[in-house]
Amino acid sequence: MDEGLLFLISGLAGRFPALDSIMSFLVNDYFVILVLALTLLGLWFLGKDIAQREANQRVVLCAVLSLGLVSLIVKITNLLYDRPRPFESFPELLPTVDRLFYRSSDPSFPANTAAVAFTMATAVWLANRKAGALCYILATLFAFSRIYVGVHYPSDILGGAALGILITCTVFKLLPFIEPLPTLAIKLARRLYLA
Amino acid sequence: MIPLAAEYTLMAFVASLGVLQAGAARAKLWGLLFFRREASAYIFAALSIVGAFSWFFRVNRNIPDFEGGLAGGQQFLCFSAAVLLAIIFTILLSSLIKGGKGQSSSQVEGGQGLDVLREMTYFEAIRRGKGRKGG
Repeated sequence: MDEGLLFLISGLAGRFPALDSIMSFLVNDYFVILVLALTLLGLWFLGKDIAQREANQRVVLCAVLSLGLVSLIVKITNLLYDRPRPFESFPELLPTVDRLFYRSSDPSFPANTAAVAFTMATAVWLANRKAGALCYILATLFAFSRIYVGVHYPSDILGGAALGILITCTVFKLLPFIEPLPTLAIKLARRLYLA
Repeated sequence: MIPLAAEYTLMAFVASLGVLQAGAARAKLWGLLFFRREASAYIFAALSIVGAFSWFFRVNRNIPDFEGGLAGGQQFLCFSAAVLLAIIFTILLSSLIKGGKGQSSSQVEGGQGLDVLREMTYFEAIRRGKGRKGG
């Protein structure tokens, strides 16, 4: 099923030049990640009152912590399980990969990019449902583009996205248990007129 | 030729400046704004974000990290540096542009943190903070 879905999606490549261009842009390592990171930066300043702004700032701290944890878990998983990339198992995908992206060298599972994008989208969603929904759409398009160009299986993306969402929600729930660290960080920033 | 890390940092710096101006305008943080009018801050934000992205993505950026592309950790470092620089630049420029011309100090005593910047520039806030500590 995983391979079937991969070929269904990556089979679209080459049929519609406009879609290829969009996917080739979306798939790059910088655009979506940077948009999500800038959204979190903006979130730091927003809030109707000081309480809501502090809640947003806690979410930003949660995102930073979650990103560190997610990256660590992905690294450990990569050491334990080296799944080949789809284009390594199916050389017929190579022309698409070479045309729209590049041959990634790290293990396929879980998709690190999906994990990072969904970590940030979840953090935004925890603070603001509407902005979070937009971020989830962006993260989903980013993840989809990775399957489209043939560098990830759908299960890699699902694994990465699930990891990002799970870790962020867990860190958010556990924030009160690492008090007073988050409060101290915000208080320090507030003393410097930065929170 | 400029290395990709430098181009990325510059792009993130300019885009962060835009986000900071938009955030400051939305939160009514007069002391952080480069402009008198909020609308000007939003226009600056839109131009700097769109401009930074357009400039960076003028060429194909699908480059593997083993051929000069940026790995995740490098991106994080470059982005953090860019945000830090953008905050420092915003504080310096907004304070220098406005000098000591705070809007009013009627509510300053009640405010704290970022809220203080609704009434005065960053430098003024630091000065008054020190003054209060000094007695």
